[in-house]
Amino acid sequence: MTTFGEINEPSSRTAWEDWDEVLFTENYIDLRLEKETEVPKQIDTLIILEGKYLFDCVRAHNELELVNASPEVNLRLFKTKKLNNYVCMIRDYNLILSSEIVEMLKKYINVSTDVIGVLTKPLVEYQVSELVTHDYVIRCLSTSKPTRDLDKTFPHLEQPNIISGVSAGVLCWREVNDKPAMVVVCYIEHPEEVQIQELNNLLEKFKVIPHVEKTHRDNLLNSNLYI
Amino acid sequence: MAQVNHWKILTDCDFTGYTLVIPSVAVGNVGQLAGDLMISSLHMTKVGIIYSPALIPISGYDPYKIGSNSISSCCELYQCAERKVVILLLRAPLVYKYAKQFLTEVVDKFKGQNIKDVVILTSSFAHERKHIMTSPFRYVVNDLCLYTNKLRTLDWVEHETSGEPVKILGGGFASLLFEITKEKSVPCLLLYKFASEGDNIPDAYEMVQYLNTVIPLFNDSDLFSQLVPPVSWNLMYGGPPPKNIY
Repeated sequence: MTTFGEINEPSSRTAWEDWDEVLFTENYIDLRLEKETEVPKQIDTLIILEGKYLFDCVRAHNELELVNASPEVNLRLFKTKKLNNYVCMIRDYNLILSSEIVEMLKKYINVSTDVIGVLTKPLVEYQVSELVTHDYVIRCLSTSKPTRDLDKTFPHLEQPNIISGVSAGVLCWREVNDKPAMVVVCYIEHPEEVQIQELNNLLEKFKVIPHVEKTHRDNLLNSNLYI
Repeated sequence: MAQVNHWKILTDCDFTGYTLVIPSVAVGNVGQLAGDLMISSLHMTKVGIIYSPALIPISGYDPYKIGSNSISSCCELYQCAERKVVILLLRAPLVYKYAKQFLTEVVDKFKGQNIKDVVILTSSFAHERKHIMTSPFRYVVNDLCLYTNKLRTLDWVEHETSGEPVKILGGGFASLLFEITKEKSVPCLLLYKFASEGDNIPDAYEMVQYLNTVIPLFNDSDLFSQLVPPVSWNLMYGGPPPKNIY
């Protein structure tokens, strides 16, 4: 929520470079993954988890094995221990770098049978004509070619809502290539207070987290007491 | 990193003699809103999707058809065969470092398809309008522009240049694209409106009206009755206020 009197520009208008000032140089740094690891020939599902909520959901568990990373954009790439799935966790990155991050991940995206993106957004950004009374709302976006078994799980995201960033880029790239992908977007008001069962089930299904009953979120660093 | 732009053409089209309209991502998104309005009102058909690292990715369902299951992306191509107009609509800003290569490819591609000309729609900061009693619209043309004589008869105000290249403050990639069309010898008209961030829907209506006087897009009868706002304009400024604020 915004503070009373705060000027709140539509979010679509805040992420752009200032083209009027000549502040740019040609010394751009290309993003790259830290290690030159071999990319597998095939991945069953590539799961992209965006945002702090999902980061906190996953980090307390040991179901993943770190494969690669790109610290400049807080990206870490894991392999699930139990299935042939890869998990890309990313948070607090510059939106301008989104397409470049997608380029960096393309070798993994292209060999994946399915790609599932999961991201959280503030509930206040969910635009519908009715009043939202729930603590959270889950919607999805899917390419023309549906993913294997998630297509009917969540309702479609209503217009005029949109998503942006890495998940959006991956979805568009897969659409352009006629390959399946889906993005699950969770609008949530108080991420630190809510456990979202549907997301936990989804993560458990792909063996990103252990059995749902055993899951917990590590809120230690979120507590005012310890900061 | 090598920049590769992917063009997914959904329907094969012959763009010979077409006008290519490219709205720039600029202050108040006036050009883009005008593009939206034209696509929606002329019932234009999506004929292509472009994926490029130059584009900040966004995605949602078709902004012109409620309940649609068809994904929309950041950069799409819409065609109106009847009016021989094609719109390249960008829904997010370009990434500066990749912009020139992307825009050059766009111009080359359409030049190769024998388009008639390019029209760039954009906006500039309202505070840059020095003569406030004049029209809020300005135009810039290159030497090959097909509408120069017509524009003179319309008595429109030309952009005040202070040397080359053309600079439109707040106009996003419009100036860069204009320079590319000049370099590639493609006829080009750049139309912009002084605007501020806010409710820019009236600006979009006015821009379509202005454009329609140069390039006939709609029938001669009442223009505004022919304009259909797209679904994506619903809730532009949010949903109903939460109950707990009262």
